[in-house]
Parts: sequence; C-alpha cells; structure tokens
Amino acid sequence: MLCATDIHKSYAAQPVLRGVSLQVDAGEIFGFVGPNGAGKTTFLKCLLGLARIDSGSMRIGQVDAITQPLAARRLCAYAPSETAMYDSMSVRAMLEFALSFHRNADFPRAVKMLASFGLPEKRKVRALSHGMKRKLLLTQALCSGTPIILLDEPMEGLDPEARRELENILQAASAEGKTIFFSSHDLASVERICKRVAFLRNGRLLECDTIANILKRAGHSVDLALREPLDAKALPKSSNLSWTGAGTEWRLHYHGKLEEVFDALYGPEESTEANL
Amino acid sequence: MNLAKHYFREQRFLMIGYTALLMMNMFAGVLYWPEMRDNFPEMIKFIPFEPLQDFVRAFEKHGFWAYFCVQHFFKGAGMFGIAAGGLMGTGIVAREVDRRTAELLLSRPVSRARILFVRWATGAAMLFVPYFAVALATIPLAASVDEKLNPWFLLQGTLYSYLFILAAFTATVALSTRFSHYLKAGMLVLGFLLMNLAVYMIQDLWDYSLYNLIDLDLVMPIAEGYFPWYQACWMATITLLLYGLGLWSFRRRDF
Repeated sequence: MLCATDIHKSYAAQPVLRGVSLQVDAGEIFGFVGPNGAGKTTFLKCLLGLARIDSGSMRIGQVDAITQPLAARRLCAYAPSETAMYDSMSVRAMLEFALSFHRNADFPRAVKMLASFGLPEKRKVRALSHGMKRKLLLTQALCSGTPIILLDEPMEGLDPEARRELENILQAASAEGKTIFFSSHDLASVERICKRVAFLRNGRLLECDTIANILKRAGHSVDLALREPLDAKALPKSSNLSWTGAGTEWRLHYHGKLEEVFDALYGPEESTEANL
Repeated sequence: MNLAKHYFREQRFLMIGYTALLMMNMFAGVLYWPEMRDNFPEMIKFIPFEPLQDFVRAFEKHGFWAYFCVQHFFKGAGMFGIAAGGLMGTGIVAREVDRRTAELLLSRPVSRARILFVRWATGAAMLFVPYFAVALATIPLAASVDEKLNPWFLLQGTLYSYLFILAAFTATVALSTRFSHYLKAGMLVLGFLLMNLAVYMIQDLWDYSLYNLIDLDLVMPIAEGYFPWYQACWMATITLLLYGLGLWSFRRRDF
C-alpha cells in the first residue's frame, strides 16, 4: 500500500533521511519510532509532497507520490504533530474546512467522534487546549474517508484515557481495511497496536520488522555494583552475554531472559544462588 | 470555493477597513472641493512640494475630473490600495507558515497552483470591488457639489489605476511564497513603494518613480479618450510575471 525505496533528503546540505526504505501493507497499523530529529516528520512530509526528496522513490497504492503528489494526497489523510489550526474558526467550521477537500469524507461520523472526544462544536479553536486540538486533528484525519491515514505523533498531549480510546479507534479503522502509518515516541502504544515497527535514528532506518522479532533480537543490560573488585577473567562467559566495565562497576549485556542466561551458565540450582 | 471562502473570511476585516478608508477619503475630498474650487491661488502658496503644486494647478485648469483623479487614482490606489494589497498579499503563503498551519493546508488533496490562484483571485476581487464601488459612489456625491463625472471614463480610469494595486498585490504574493514571517513580504513591498513615493516628491527624480504610472499626466487624458494602453499592458505583464514567479517559488518550496 505504501512503499518507500532509498529515500534521501537534506535540508541545507544537512542530511535528514539517509536511504530509508520501507513497505507498509494494506490494513496494517505501522509504527514509525525514533527520537526527536530522527527524520520521522520529514519522511511523512516527503510522502505527502510537502517536502521534495533528493533521491529515491515513493509509491502510495498504485500512485507515484513523487511525480503525482496530488493523486497521492487523495489517498491519504494526515494529522500533523503541530496542533496549530485556524484559531478564529469554530471546531465545526474547522472540521468542515479540513474535510471539504476529501471526496469521501464522513462528516456525520466526524461530528459523532467530536462528541465522543468531548469536543464542543461551537467553541473557537483558539479556546481549545493542546490535547483537544490534537483530538480535532485526529477526528478530521480519521473521518476523511481515505484508505491511508498518516498520523504524526498522534498520542502527544492526550491523557491516558484518550490514548486508549484512540488505540481502539485505530484498531477499528485497521479492521475496516484502512492502512495506518503513525510516528510516535510512545513505545507502549506502538507495542500495543502495531503489527510492525520501523526504528529511525539520525535519518537511518535501524530496524523494520514485527515487534516480536525485534524484541527477540534486542539485547538487555544490567548495571552491577560489586562489593569487591572482580577480574574480567573471573566473570562468567557465554555466547549470549558480554561484559563491560572494571573493578566493582560492571555492565552485563545479554539476550533472552536473565534467568535462562544464569541457568545456562550455572545450572538451575547454582543459578538461583547466583541470582540471590 | 472553500479556499476562496476561507481566504475571504480571513481578510474581511482588512477589506472593510480598506473600503472605509477609500470612502472617507472620497467623502472628505468631495465635500472639501467647493472650498478648494474658489481658492486655488491661495492654496498653491501653502503646498511645499512641486508635484503637489502641479496637482492643484491641474485642478484649476481641468476642474473636478483632475481632482477626482488625484483623490481616487493617485491617493486611493497609490496609498490605500497598495497598503491593503500589501497586507492582503502577505497573508497568502507566509502567514500560513508563520502560524504553522501550512502543513495542515498543504497536506489536503489540493494542488499548490490551485491554492495560490484561488487566494490570489479572491484577494484581487476583494481589492477591486471596494475600489470600483467607491468610484461609482462618487458620481452621486459629485452631483451634490454641482460636478459631473462621466461613468465610462471613470470606469476606464478605475480599471487602469487598479492595475497598479494588482501589481503591488501580486508582488507581495510572490514574496510571500518565500518568507516565513507573514508581515515581511508586505513590509518590503510597501517600503519599496513608499520609497518610490518619496522619489516622486523630488522634482529632479520623479521620472524614476513608479508613481508616474498613476500620475495625472496619464490618467487625466482618459477623459479625452486617450487610454494609456502602453502602461496598462506593461503593468499587466509585470503582474503576470510576478504571479508566475510566485507560483514557481511556491511549488518548489519545502514546508
């Protein structure tokens, strides 16, 4: 449904995206995770034609998003991370304006969603809190009737209850066949609702896989403060663990469960003793 | 339609202010005319700048039409018109960037060319309608001070001098596509035109001022059947070029 290949983008000779390639299937909820400045928003902007890429290719459905940005935008609804809107408009007028560009927009559903989010239709946008503005942006994106929904940091500014509600809405939309691509810092939400996740750092894609596979591959670490200094030769060795540090300060890196690591090293009985 | 409605809604107070200024200028001007008509020699003595003295001499020689040309075509277009045009034009793109709504607007399934054209056309209409309405309203107003205005020449003069406003408006729109602070483009164009007005007031330099385009020498002969086609085409061409430049820059910009 959405395919990006080797995307490069720089702002004033500063590379922001460095060869990002990913593919999102129809009906999937795809999480795009990374720290601030990783390039998540830039990637979304390139997808929507708000920023021009330096090289690479992007397809949305059957449409080339680079050469036909308007056709690509017809397939996408977008809720930016920036909550700025037209302050002098009422909530309803803002929603009408945002949805008026989408042919299949479902305005009655949007009004119902506003009510479920507790947003008063007649209130001016300027009088809304950050979280309420976020809900308004999400409402227009979710009710635009497009097959793809792009959300940039949708959980930011939402209270835990609203986050849960949004997660349910996104899951329901996915069940209806909509493809949802969202960037987030909220790893808990990503883990709860996404089937696949991409990790971006400094414009490079580090991982793009199912959460289960990523967790399997990911290592853990534990900081240890020992009573007496220990020589590196005396530390237990195994293929799934490694040590860094010296003297009484050591960091243990391991894959899998810690109990299993100790079991493998010492056997179940000694392992329990070692844990203690 | 929604884009035009939205832009109109945003600029409506500016349009009301512009209309009010044009109306007040014309009302005050026309009501002052009888007093002026009887005291030309006295008045010229108190006017410091040569170009302004020339205006009064033209009033004395050509009567109310010359006075109307200065009030509406020179003052109305050259001051209030460009001020309104500058402020309206600057909001077309730069204001969206300044208040961070550009991302929201440009992510809709609508082309940048359409956004720019609809907003430009709406702004152009919002500048034209009050300007034309005030010109028409002067006909009955002039009758109240025993003066007559030919509607046909009035329409021609209004259209011609409106091209000056349109060029200033389009220049601001073109600059607006590059800037991120919404007043910057308007201030640049207004500053440039203010400088031109200052140059116009200096006798040795006034040939170099853009205000020559709406000077009495060009607009007054309209009443004798001489429409300044050359200057009108020049202003229309510049407007088209500026619009093309603005569109090119808007299409290439990253948001």
